[in-house]
Amino acid sequence: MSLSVAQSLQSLALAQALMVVPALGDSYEGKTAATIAALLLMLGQAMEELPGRRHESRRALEQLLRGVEVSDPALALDLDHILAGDSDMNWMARDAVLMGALVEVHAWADRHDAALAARCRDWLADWAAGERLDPPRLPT
Amino acid sequence: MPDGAALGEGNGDLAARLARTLGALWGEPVEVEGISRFHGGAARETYRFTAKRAGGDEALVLRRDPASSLITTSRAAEFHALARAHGAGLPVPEPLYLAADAHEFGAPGFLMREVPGGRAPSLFEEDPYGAGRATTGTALFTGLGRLHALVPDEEDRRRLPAMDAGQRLAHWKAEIAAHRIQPEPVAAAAIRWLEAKVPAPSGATAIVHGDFRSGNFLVDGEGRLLALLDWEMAHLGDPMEDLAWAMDPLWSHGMHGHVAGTLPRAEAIAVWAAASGRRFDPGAFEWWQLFAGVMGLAIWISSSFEVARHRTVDPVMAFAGTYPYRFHNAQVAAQLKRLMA
Repeated sequence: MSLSVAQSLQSLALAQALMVVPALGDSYEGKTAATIAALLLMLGQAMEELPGRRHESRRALEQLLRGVEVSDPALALDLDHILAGDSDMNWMARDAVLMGALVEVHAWADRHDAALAARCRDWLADWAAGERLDPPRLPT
Repeated sequence: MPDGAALGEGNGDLAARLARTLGALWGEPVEVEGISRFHGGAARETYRFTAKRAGGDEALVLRRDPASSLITTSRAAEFHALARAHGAGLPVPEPLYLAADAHEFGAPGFLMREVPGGRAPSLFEEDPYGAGRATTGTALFTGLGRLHALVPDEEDRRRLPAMDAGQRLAHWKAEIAAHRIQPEPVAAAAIRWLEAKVPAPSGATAIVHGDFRSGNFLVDGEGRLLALLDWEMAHLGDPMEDLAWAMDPLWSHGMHGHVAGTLPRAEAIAVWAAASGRRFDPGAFEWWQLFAGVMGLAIWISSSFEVARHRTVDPVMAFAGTYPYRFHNAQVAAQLKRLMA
């Protein structure tokens, strides 16, 4: 069985922290190496849980946008097109399209539909909390 | 604009540049030794070195524009703010010489004296000021209050950008628009709220540090404040901006309720109010708190842009676009939800 991405990143982080950083000491290069180690460690931690949370967030956002009824015909048309989706689109590009739609819908809702605006804010708070990273910690 | 070739030069070339400038400044031969770069502070390149002259050695620091930066600021404005604070007796490094163009240092920059013996904690350091935290916090918010007590003079108005709350918001909104590499739904929603509720000034216009937070000041082993650093975002504006940025949870070292890992919030405000002679404005402060998160987002989005465009490989920039960005995105989204509940 191969190492997971999370395990590989954590191993690289430990190598950086335990082998490279001490050799470079308190210099600019040493502190730069420590920053790289911290980043690798955080990303390794995130890789274990972030994909699942993102999948849930995506599903909730699509559900939110599907339930939207806007009186602006151009916005309604765009939403229909966006939600129909594009099977060739990669994950990040699809996310960007959905987020762009959310920005438009939320701005419209702030002006015309307080309940929808509140749902947008709820989704944003849940999504952003799920994307937040924990400070780096050494694996136990 | 930075001179790319000069920024890629070795320390020997930089030593020759520094020796030439200092020789002309002091009117005597100068040798430069021991150049080493400070870590962090990705907004500028900062080097310490020793200048050897007939009268003895001088420990100096050079700050110059990097090829790629978190933010675009003026070295001339930073130098002026530093000189103003030094002249007013605030604990800051003594500024010595400004090179406003790239001719002397390869990029606009300035020289100042090194403040020896201090340290600035990293973001993840828990309880970094320990038993000295009250000493540090009292000195810190006294220093901030003394800065805000200064009345901007003609030279300040000529050298420093003047921006009220609406202009500050417009500035960072434009930075986000110019640098976002994906839709930013949290920032967009927060900016709409902020634009609808721009507060009146909390008092007379002040000299605002602009980046007053843990990590941008030096303390000694007993928690005594040695120097306030990093004046590159100084401007004339509302002092609530400095308070809100200093009190932002990102800089709390995980010590909730303690500002910048030092004093409880109410004590920090009381110390500031006593030193500044100003009134704390809770209504305006609420706006400035959300503004602080949006300003953070703008800075981290700009750093992500620089990394994504391969304009820098400094891992501090990649870090900024990763941890603090997500921290502030979550904080601003939660704050917006509370404000509009």
